[in-house]
Amino acid sequence: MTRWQRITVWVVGGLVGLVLLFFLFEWAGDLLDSGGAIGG
Amino acid sequence: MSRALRIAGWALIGAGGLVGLFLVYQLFVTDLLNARSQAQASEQLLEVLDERRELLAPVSTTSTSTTAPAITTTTTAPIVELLTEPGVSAGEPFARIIIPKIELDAVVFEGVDRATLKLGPGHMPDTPLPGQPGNAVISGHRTTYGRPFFELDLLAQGDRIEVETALGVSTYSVRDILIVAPTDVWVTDPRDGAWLTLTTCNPRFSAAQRLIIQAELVDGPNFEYVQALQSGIRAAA
Repeated sequence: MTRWQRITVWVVGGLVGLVLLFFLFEWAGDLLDSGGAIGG
Repeated sequence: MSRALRIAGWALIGAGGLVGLFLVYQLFVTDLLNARSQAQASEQLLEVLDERRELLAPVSTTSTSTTAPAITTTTTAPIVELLTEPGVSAGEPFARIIIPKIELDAVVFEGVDRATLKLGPGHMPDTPLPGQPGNAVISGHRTTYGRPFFELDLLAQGDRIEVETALGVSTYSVRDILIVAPTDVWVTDPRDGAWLTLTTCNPRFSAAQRLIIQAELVDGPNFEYVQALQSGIRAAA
């Protein structure tokens, strides 16, 4: 694996990790406070 | 130190960091996002209210309106008309809610979906607009996204809630404070008179229950109409 391939893997992996983290936080945030709507 | 212990230690540090990031995101970042939304909506609301006021039917006791049924109370009582305003598009800011006791002043949007409630308190579609007869329902976040209803539990019977729409300012007085399940949709059912129902998560930092504040209209553009309507209902009963 070349240096640039390694960098690409780290950058893409980091971005995917951030997206997954965002959705994890959003899901967990609904347990803290779902917005207060009734019936939802 | 064994390799397994080292790995477990780093895993715990990582998990702790993740929880810390989560709390910072939920308790601070979402507040910043909401503050920006509210600032933009506050400016937009002035324009929206101006536009909506231009669409209002002229107010006159002698005029006839296709959308506003007029009622008479008794033989010599003046005609009191229901003042209505146009419907609101989903996601549009259309009102301002003010609760002096908890220093709340927030722009209200149309809708109670997740995306809308991140912007501020949301009016539940299919319930009347605030200031109208029936049961207007507004929901809001308790602990994240600007936490507009964080201190809603401090309200007591008799406390004032004001909602400004294109019609003017409608003032409500708190009557009932309830804790219900998130599925108890009966709190949104239509009611005689004019009511405002506020809903939010309960307890703080949990979405397990809903805190409900129900307040009755005590002043505003349609107050006389609602009084006359209720007198009519009582007389007919």
